[in-house]
Amino acid sequence: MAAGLTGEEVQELYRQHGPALLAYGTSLLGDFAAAEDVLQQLFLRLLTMKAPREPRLYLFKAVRNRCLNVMRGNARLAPLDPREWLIKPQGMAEAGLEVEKAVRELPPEQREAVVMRIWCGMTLAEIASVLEIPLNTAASRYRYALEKLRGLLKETR
Amino acid sequence: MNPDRDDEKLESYLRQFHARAPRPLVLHQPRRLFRPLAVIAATAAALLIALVFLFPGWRRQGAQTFVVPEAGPIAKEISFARLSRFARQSPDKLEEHLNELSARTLPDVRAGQGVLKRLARE
Repeated sequence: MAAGLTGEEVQELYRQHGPALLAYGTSLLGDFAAAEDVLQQLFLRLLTMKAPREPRLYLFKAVRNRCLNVMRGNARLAPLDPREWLIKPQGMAEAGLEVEKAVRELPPEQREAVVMRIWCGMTLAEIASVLEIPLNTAASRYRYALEKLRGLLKETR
Repeated sequence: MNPDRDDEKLESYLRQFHARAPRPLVLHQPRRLFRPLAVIAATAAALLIALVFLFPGWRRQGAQTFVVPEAGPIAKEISFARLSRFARQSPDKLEEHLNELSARTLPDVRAGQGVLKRLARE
């Protein structure tokens, strides 16, 4: 059996990638608590498996697969925990809520691309790798997402 | 109007908001927990063995006591001490006494229809 990562290594990965993965998971599930649960289970699993070659990409792919499984097994109309997943700077609480609302209104593929690019800090190549799509497709999804967000946020900004 | 410039402005606006951190990760590490448990179990076992050897009386106190049933009159008669005493006091009557005792304790090979009777005949 392969030696798993140590607790310290797992905690370090969680500290580094936890917020981005949670934002990504929440954008997929629309449920903050469910996304947190997915993360907890995934990081516990890391204790028993060999260290992935590219931890960041592995973690995003794993979160995506787990979220898709949750969505398949638990198809519901409304999210149970639509908690705010963005931290708003002082005086921008209202604007932050508008951003969250606008992101929720994007089509799922565009939402995924924009969350990964803006709040997870991924390159378009990384997004394409995680989603297993061509780079051009990732780029166009992102471009469409920005266009739509611009329209939705016009009044707020 | 430059669309790339517009994209950059929108991106920097969106990046003012940061992703919220998840709740702290609670790791249960059963494999690492096993080692201290094994050490505790081994220490407890060693301590118990040491106690048993250092305080043998403690073991007897705690041990279950069995009540030995009272020996019957024949069992008393055929005890080694009693037979030795009998042999010293009246050696001439020892054989007769043993015959009498064996007739009372051993099965009669001539009685009944069992295997012993058939063997006695042969």
